[in-house]
Amino acid sequence: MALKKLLLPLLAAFLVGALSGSAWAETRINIVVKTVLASHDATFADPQIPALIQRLQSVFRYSSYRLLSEETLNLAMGETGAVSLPGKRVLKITPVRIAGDRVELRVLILKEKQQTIQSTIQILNRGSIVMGGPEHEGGYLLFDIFNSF
Amino acid sequence: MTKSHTGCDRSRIDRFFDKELGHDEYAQVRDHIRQCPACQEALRENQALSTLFRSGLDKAVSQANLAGLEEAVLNQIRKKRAPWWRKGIDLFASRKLLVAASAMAAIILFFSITRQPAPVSAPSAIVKSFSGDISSVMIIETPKSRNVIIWYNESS
Repeated sequence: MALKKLLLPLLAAFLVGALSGSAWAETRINIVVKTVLASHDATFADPQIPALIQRLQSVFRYSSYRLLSEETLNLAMGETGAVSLPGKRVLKITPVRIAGDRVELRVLILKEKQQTIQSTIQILNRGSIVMGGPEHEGGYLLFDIFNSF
Repeated sequence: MTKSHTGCDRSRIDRFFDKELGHDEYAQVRDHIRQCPACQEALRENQALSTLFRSGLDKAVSQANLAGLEEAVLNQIRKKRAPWWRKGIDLFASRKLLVAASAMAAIILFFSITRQPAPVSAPSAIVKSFSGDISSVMIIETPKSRNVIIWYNESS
């Protein structure tokens, strides 16, 4: 009799656990990659990226920030997405796992099909990281990688 | 002095006038009054006094706002019977409470607008590994917002 009373709650708990586990495995990561050219050649603050410029100006002293491109990826765990970058470069991103309130990404940057950068980064949900430094057309390239899940 | 002469009793005359005597006693007094001028005078005095009181009362009643009195009484009854939430609404609608609530709301709004934003508790990103064909790398965390920037130089 006691077992019968417990059976329904146990069954419900099992179903909830199974469903939540499968839902987590199917979590898709939304990634937005913005490519910015920073330089001293001119004085220009691209109105499309005011928040990013504010963050960069707290560290760098470039007079010009210009948005070159913006691409969005929607990736499942283990799925790799690619974004074309200036200078024959390609950015490849693969979500590896969810760790608490962060997603772990494997990030590769290739130049002329040769791997130049390999990094594993954990980014806060609705947070971003900026990778930059390659020279391009008198300035420097910055890649802002934003994620949400 | 209640008795002018044998058989006259002023108190009985008053009670006769107020119709407070028993049947037999009422008949005796009535028969006595018919024969007694003094008691007839006493009865007339009672009548005059009664007329005076009645005319005054009628005048007061005619001048009274009975409709307003009725409404005031009914309002008192309604107040006592009103549910607790209705009493709360009436209290809130009163001007005194409205002024105090407005002042409190203004103070709260002022401090909420001028309050400094809460500091960010964790960096936006944690770099677990970084490698490549590079000559140098810097990992920077911006102050306040704690955004992470990786700055690297490609090998030429």
